[in-house]
This record gives sequence, C-alpha cells and structure tokens, in this order.
Amino acid sequence: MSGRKAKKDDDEYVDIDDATDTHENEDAQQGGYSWEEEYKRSWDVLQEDAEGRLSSVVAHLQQQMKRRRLLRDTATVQRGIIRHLFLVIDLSEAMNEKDLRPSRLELTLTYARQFVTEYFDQNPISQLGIIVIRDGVAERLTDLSGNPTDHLRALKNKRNQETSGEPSLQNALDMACASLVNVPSHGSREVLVVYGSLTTCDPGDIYDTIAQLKKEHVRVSFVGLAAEIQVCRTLCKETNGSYGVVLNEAHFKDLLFEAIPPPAVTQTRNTSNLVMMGFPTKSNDLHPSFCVCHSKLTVGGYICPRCSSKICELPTDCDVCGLTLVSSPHLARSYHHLFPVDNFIEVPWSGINSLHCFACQTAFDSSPPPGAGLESNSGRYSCPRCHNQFCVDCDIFVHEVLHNCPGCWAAGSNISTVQIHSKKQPAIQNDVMPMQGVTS
Amino acid sequence: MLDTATSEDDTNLLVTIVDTNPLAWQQSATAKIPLSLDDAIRQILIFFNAHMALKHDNKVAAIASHIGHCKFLYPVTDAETHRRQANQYKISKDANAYPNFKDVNDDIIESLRSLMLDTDTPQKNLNDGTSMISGALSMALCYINRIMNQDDLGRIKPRILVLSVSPDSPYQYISIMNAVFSAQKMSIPIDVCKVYGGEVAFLQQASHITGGVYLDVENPQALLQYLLFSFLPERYARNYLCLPNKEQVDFRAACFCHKRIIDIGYVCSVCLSIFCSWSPVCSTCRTKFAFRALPPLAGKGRPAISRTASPAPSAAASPGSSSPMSTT
Amino acid sequence: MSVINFKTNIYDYLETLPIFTFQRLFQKPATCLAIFRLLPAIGRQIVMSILYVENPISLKDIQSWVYKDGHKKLQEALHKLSKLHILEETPEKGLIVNSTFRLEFKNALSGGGEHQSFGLPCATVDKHKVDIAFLDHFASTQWEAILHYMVGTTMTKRPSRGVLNLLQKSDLMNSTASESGLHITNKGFQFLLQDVNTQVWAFLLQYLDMAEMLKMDLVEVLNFLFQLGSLELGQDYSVETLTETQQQMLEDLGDYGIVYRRKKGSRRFYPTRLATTLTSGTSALVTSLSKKETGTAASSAMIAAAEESHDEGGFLILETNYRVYAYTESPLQIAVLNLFIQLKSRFPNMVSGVITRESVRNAFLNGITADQIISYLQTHAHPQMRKRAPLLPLTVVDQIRLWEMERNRVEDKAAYLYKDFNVQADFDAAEKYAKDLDVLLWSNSKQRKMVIAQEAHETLRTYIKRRLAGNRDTG
Repeated sequence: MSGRKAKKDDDEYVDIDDATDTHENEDAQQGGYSWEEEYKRSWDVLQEDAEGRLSSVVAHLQQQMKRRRLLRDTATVQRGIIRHLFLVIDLSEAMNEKDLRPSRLELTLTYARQFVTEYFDQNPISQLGIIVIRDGVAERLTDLSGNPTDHLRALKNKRNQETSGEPSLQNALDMACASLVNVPSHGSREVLVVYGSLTTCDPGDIYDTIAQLKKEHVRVSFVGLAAEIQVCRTLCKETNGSYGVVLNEAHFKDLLFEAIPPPAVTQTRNTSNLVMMGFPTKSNDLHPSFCVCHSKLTVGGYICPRCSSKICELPTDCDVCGLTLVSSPHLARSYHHLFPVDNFIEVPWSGINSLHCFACQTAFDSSPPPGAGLESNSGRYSCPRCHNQFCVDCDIFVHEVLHNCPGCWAAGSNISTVQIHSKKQPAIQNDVMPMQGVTS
Repeated sequence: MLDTATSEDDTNLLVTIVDTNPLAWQQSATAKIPLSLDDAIRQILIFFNAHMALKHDNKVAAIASHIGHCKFLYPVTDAETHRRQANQYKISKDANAYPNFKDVNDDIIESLRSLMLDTDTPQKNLNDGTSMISGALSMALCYINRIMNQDDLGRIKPRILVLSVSPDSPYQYISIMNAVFSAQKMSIPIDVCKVYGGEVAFLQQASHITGGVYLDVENPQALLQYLLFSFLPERYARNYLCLPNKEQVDFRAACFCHKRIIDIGYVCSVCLSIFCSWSPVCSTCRTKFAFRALPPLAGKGRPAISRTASPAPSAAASPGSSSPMSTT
Repeated sequence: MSVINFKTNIYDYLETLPIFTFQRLFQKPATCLAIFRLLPAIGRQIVMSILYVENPISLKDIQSWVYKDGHKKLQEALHKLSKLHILEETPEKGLIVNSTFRLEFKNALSGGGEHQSFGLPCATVDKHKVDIAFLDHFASTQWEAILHYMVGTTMTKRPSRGVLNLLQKSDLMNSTASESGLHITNKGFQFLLQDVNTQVWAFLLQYLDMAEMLKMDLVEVLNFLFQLGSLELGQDYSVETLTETQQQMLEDLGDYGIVYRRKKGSRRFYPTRLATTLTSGTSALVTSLSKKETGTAASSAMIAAAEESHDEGGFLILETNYRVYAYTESPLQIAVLNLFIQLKSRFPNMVSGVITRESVRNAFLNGITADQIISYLQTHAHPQMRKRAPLLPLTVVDQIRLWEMERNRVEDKAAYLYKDFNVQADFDAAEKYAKDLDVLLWSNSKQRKMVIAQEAHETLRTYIKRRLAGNRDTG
C-alpha cells in the first residue's frame, strides 16, 4: 500500500524546473553551456487563469509531465527478449557524497532493488548478475541468474553496502565480459554501470577492454552520478550503449529504468535462434520431497520434463540438466514488448466525439474553458486505430501498465485488430496466434 | 497467504464482467440443465444486492462482454442517466425495495435491454461470435485504476469477477494475458465463474496468477448459491475462508505448428513463438536462424543431450502430451 | 473507529432483547438488513452462504469452510449470530437460519414482498419541496442546538421539553438544586467528544429506554429507526405506511433534526443526513455547515462516494509542538475544543490554540479521558493530516496519556493486610498463590507482610489455613 502512496506523491509533485528541463537540454546541445544561458525564471511559466487561480495551469503542467514520459517509439522492432545483463555498482568513496538525497549510495541501492524487481517483471526469461567495484577490485555479488530473490538478498546484505577506496572500471568490465562471452548468442549481452566516481584505477589499458567488449558485442550503458567522463562516453559510443548523467533523484530513476525494456536488436548480425525450453508440470505430491535448487524438503513444485528433478520456482534453469524452464504465462509477459500500444493523440476541442472516457467512464468537460481556443487540448486522448477517446489517467495506465488499448479490444473492431497484428507481423495467420495455453 | 493490506473497514468494489454472448446463452438455455440469460441475470442481480448488503459502502460495477464489443452496464454515464430520466425509464420508487439496490438493478436491466436491442444489427454478426473478454478486462482495470487514484486513504479494495459462458478465443490471448499481468501488479484478484461451456484455460490462468477463485458451475440452476458461497466473500474474509480453487492449472504450452501440447519445445528468441521441432526459419516472424545442429546448452559445459531423448516423465498428466518430440 | 463504536452500542442493546421481540423485528426486511450489517465479516458471509440452503447445516461443516487461524473469528461470529437469534440450532444439532429472517432477508435482497419497510415515497409532488442543502442545514441546526445547550452557549434557542427530558434521563445533564437550569455532567462532556453518529445512537438508545416507559411498542420504534437508515436523502416519504407509534416518533425525531416535517401533522416527511447515515456509520458529520452537496453535480455514484469520504469533515491540524489549528467557524466546535485546548487566537475561518498540561487537566477534571481526546483529534483530523502515518504526532499523544497518568498516581482499593507469618515458606507459598490469582497488591518478603485485594480475602484465608493445617499434620 505504501508503495502506491509514494508513487502517487511523486506524480502530484510538479517540478516546474523539471518540466522545462527538456528544452534546456536541447538548447544546451545546440550551443553554449547551460551556465552561459540566461538565468531562467521558472515562475514565469506559471500563468494565472481567468479566475486568478493557478490550479488549472498546474493541472495542465501535470498532464504534460505525465505524458512526456509516455511518448516513446512504438514502431515494431525486433527486440532481444532474452537478455543477459550485468548491473555494475560503484562502491567507491565517491558514493558517499550527499548531493543526491539521502546519499548517492543509498539512493543507488534503493533504485537497484526496484530495478531488479522491475527488470524481472518485464523480462521474465532474462538473466541478471550484479558486480560491485571498490578498492580497485571488482567483486561478483551474484552470477547471471533468473531468480530475483537471490539478487535482492545480495543487495540487502549489509556487507555489500560498504564503500571504500577507488573504483576500477576495467576490472569490472573484464569480469562482466568474461561471464558474458559464455552466454548463447541468441541472447543480448549488456552491462549497465552506475558510476559515482570521476576517476578509475585500472591495471591496464582500458581501450583494450573496450575493443574486447566491442568484439564480443557487449553493450555497455552508463549512468553517471557526478559529471560526464570522456572515457565512459567513448565506451558507450563504441559499444552502442547509452550514456546519461543524472540531474536529480527523479532523473536518476528515469535513466536507470530506461534499461528495463528490452533493447532493439541490431540487424548487423544474425543472433536469433530457436532456444530449447521446457514447460514443467506442477507436482501435486502430498508428501514433501527434496528440491534440487535449495536441497530442502518441500511440498509441491515443478518437475523438469527432461531430467525429472524437482524445482521450486519458475522461470529458472534446471540445476541438473541445464534446460531453461518456463511456464507459458512467462513467455506471455514479454509479448507487450513485441506489440506495443500506439501513442494516443491529443484531441483538440474541435475534435471531441464523446463526453466520457471510453475506458473508465469519467465525464469530460463538455465545453472549453473560457479563453481556450478550439484547437487547444481538451484533455482527451484518442487511439489512432479505434478513435475512442480516453482521459489522461487511462492514457498513462494503458501505456505503462496495461499494454492493451481498451478501445481496440472492446469497440466492435476485433476483425481489424487481427489485421493490425497481421500488418505488423505479416506472417501471423489468423488461426495461429502466438502462444496459447492448452485449449479446446 | 494472508492479505495483510485488507481490514474489516474496507470498502469493497466488485467489478463484474458478464459474458452476454447471445449465442452461448442460447446454447446454455437449451442444455441438459438449462439456464437462460434472463434467469442468470435475475440471480446475478440478487448476488449484487447481497454484495451491497454486506456493507453500506460496498460498490459494484458491471461490464457486459458482448460479441464484438463491451459496454459498461453500471455505473452509467451522466448523459445516459439524463436520457433515461427523460424517457421515463425509471419506474417510480416503491416501499418494498431498498432504494440502493433498486437503483443499481434498474440501471443494469435498462443497460442490458438497450444492449440486446442493439445486437441485432447485421454487421455485428460478421465476427467469429466470441465475446470480448480482453476488452472488458481492460476497461475494468482502467475503471479500477481511476477509482483507486481517487481514493486517497486506500480504503477501496477492488476485485474482478468474470462470469463466462463462451469458449476461449485464441486471438485474444495476448491482450488477456496483458490484462492479467496488470491485475497481478495491482494485486487485484480475478475470480472466474464458468457458468456454461467447457474449461477456459486463459481464465483459469488468470485466476491462478492473480490469486482469484475459479469455479466450474455444475448445476447452473443453482448459480446464485455458487455465487453467494464462493464469490461473495470480500478480500478481508478470504484470509479466513477456504474457497474452491483449481489445484491443477495447466501451464504447459501448445506448439504453434501442430497445436500439440508439449513438454519441451523450441522458442524463437525474437518473437517467442513455440515450435515442437527445430526449423531454420521462424514461421511467425520469418527470422532466419543461424544454423546449429545442436543448440548449445547455455554454456554449462555438459554434453548436450540429444533432443530426441525426451523422457517426458510427467506425460501421464495428459494423454495428448506424450512424446511430443517424436516427429523431429 | 466510529463504525465500531456505534455498532457495538446497538449490538449490546439488541442482545438484551427477548427472542419474541426478534421474531417481530425480523418481519421487516429493512430491519433484517440493518441487523445483518452489524455482524462481523465472517458472520455476514456465513449468513449469505446458507441463506438459500433450506436444510440445517452441521457445525462441523461450517467449521470446514474456515482456515485454522480463522476459527476464533468464526466462534465469535457464530456466538453473535445465535445471540441475535439469526442462527438457530435444530434438535439434530444442525444450524439453520431463522425462518422469518430468512424469508424477509431474501425479500430485502430481491425486492419482493409487501412489507413497505423501506419507506413509501410520496406519489404527489411537494408544493414546498426542500433540497438537500436545506435538509443538511436543518439537521445541523437542530442537532447543534442540543449540543450548544449542553455546552452552555446561549446563542441558540432552548431545545424542546422532550429533548431536555431526554438529556436529563440519559444523565448527560442534571439539575442542581441551587441553579434553575440544567448542568452538564461528566458523561455529558464525554458525549460531546464523540462523533455525531455515536452521539445520535446514544440518544436514540436512551429514547428506546424511554419508549418502554411511555408504553410505546419497542419493535415499532426499532423498525422505524432501521427504516430511516435505508431511506434516501432528499426524497419525501409519506406517513401513510407508518403506525401510530411511529407517527408519534416523527415528532420527537424532528426535534433532534433526524427527520424534517414542514409542520406538525404534515402528510410527508424528509429524512435528513443524520437519518440516512444511521446504519452506515460513514460520514454522518453534519457539523460542517459549509459542507457542499455534491450529489447533484457528481457525475456518477462512485465519484460522489469518493468525494464524500474525502471531506469527512476533518478540520483539525495538530503539530508536534502541541499547536492546534482548527479550520472551523462553528461556535459549537470551538466550544468543544475549548474543553481541552487553550485557545489563543481566532480568525474568520480558523482558530488556533495550544494543548497544555493545564488545558488537558481541565478536561480530565470534567471526566474526559485521554483516549477520548485522542480519538476526537483523530476523527476530526484534517484531510491533509490523514495522509500521514501515524495520523497524530506521537509526542503529543504520548504526552496526553502521561498527563492522564499523572492524575492517577494514587489509587485506593479495599484490601486486607496479612502479616506475622511464622515460617518464611508459608509466606512464600501464600505470596505465590496470591500472585497466581492476580490479587497481590503489595508484598514485602523480608517483613513477611502482604496486601491482598478485598475480594480474594476469603479464598486466600482458606488456602493459608489449609496449608497451616497441613503443616501441622505432617510436622
């Protein structure tokens, strides 16, 4: 419950500076440094409305903010659904800085935990490993595995939260690379570094490491907590990763969570493959028996179809025969990455066609407020396919959580919806639909 | 197991998705133990009243999952209310009915009537006659999302009940699963009451994943008793009550090529389609695969076990699942 | 909190009623529904589960529906159900729903029958139709007039004789010989701090007691009260279906602001918000005169409900530095606050003050307890405060409790002193025995003295005697 509350507070909080930051960044890239720009008076953005109140303006800004996060590329691309990612966390002295509240370290660890949960939620058949760097040495907290609880336990361990010494970028990357070269080629190889220090203490030439990473097709992305570092920039550029330096706490989270949706597959090399997977049956044994994953007596579990060993949780790799074990819903969890919902379009007052949100039945304002033009935003957002109009909350909910357009699936256009999918994936025949459980 | 987020003071929001597929109800009305839509609605309304009787501030919402489209039965929008009032649909109040119950019941009956009148338009018959469960689930979740956003104190505890009569429609699988996962994320249980027709695997999975109740109604005539007994308990009471549940939910997959149920299969790394044998090109997304006679076993350094060596130890669970690999 | 309060109040009252009263109460579906809602969650579910089952169900079967850790709750629920005579035991040890209750509760659910228990709306249009805002205003002025009278503000008119009588009967106020008027009692002060719903019920329960004395039919009174809870705000109802007793009640209830009638003998009446929320326990606060009625403008029932729960009439902000800001202009609320807060300054829409040791002690002297102060602060907390957990600053809550404990340093109890034990072992045994019985108030092992609560004197004496006798025998 409290989680939901906290999130709500986030949403309600409107940072005007933040709302204007995007432009700032663009300007900064076009010319000059941000400190050379004229001092920005963020309060000028706020304009009182006709009744002398700020509430409507603030509400409008809120809507804009909410939507800004949403607008993303919905083009259908091949994505590497099966991922292998190393999360590298800097645990050097530099992480004790308190410029991010409560401190760089605490914030990083909090976000890292959220990241792990969210990562496995969205990439159920992917794997993750965690590496920390301190005292010039890289330390592997967890090996690549598909079980979020192991990672979370490692992150919660107090001993793994102590900082000391200098970080070593090269050691960490070498360690990650050494593990990643072994993973099958159909999966992606990624490294995500959260880096607080401005220096690195390396045993050799880091450019050799970069070349090696490039050769092995490992993508390295950086989230810098202090300032941009040239070598990191080069590293990301060479390996097709992304590089970002955080502005504030919220921006940190945005940057980190950008790595959660599976990345698009580059067409340069054919890595796709058919992966052998097992679909275990649930064991309904009434008597407890030993599982292979924890060696404990448990009741129930799943039976590996190849070697008949008992496993507690899915998805996982069978500890005995190495077969990837999943259940059909796990595969289904990833489908929304393949069939994203189109971005909704803002509807001006001249284009309104309904008085209530199609999905949640909220009543819309029926006429524009005094002073607003016919072309101004009416607070409605419409789906480009089914042309039903939605409120901003549903718009966000549909794109961030639900991944279904309620209109397309509910408004008597199911035939066209099938065609939508066929258009995207020309080879899908109407009778063969991706993944279905046991039916009829 | 204990749902600690609930307490006795909660307001319970019951969003019911009524499958109003007329074709399926037609069959149900002529089945061995018949139950017509009218009879069912009568019993469902009593069930709604029982839900509202449990607590003064309990709420219901109802969505019709019709063939081809979905519609909110209750609450109705303002515009619709005005229209109805203008047309004098509302029968005058009477002293024998609790006004809260009566308002809801009247609204739902009126919505259903207009829904059924609209159904006869010919273009609706073009589709394959399945009801839009996925759309209804999506709308239900959007509605719940809004209600929960408005509820600052977090006192509203929503749940979804699906009264299903029509079979699974395979092409809705993705959207149903998307909705199910969203529900799981928001910790909303999806209860499924299968009033008529065979088992529905999608909805079974839905209730299993979200921790809801799944029930096959054996005697549709006694629908109300099933509803009151198994689907009425609020989320708080469920902490203490044993409710019927599907012990064995089939999570195995069917391959795309032959629709056979398989234990071990090959999954396309790009689109996650499942095949029972290795082929050089994915028939779903046309991806060409790098040729490898024996896919390596995730670098574990073990000798690769041949694909034909499939002991299928658990095949006894279902006769159709035996030795799926034999065709390779 | 409030829900529990008034629920237990009515429940305790109902429990005392004889079975044939229940049989008659159950004849009205509205009453069945209201009584049903008093039950705990598990109890409600059990009634629903077996409502449509005609055959008796064995206790064992019912127990099998509940997980192990729910058994205690189940026992409690079943106990209540049998106390309220909803569940009856058949000779074959099965449990079955009371037949009258079953029939009428089914009617309530399906809207059948010819019982007219949910109030008959007037068929004709009222020429002097009143809107909800008016009703709210009426209810709050009537009800607050009573409270005003109790706190002694002189700005409102004196309540009617019936009300005064009731106040006196319920021991909320009493008349002292020296003064002519009535004086508020300790119980009255406590009453003021309760939420409106509990207050109304406390009043009505007193009314029920009086009704018996006035030879009114208890069942009809109860039925009417429960019926009021099921009525719709803003709707006018006809008095036709009411019995004579109930028509007589209308007059009294009008004095409390629970129903509105334009004039005596009018053929129609309007329930106010006090009435419609009688059995719901939610947002019955009519105190805020400014409460905006959203019913007409709200887009759907759900929004209205959400908004209602939103502004549950909270107006108090309490800070960790003991300052209280109360956004209210109601003289009544200010007067109530004055009971335990030292008010400092007053603004057009707000008063501010401080909770001090002195002000709280004053409240204690009036018989108000710390828990009552805390629960008042809790129920009236501003919506902004509600977002916090815990709701009230812990420092303040703890301090109020400490101040209360300060007053209770010395406690007198009737007791017996035991001394002059000859043998230490005898003393130890007696001391242990007393401890086990939880009656030992004080003891000193060296001096072999102990003090025992009065009620345990007999038992302990016989114990010691027996022991001494035993010693003598063996020794």
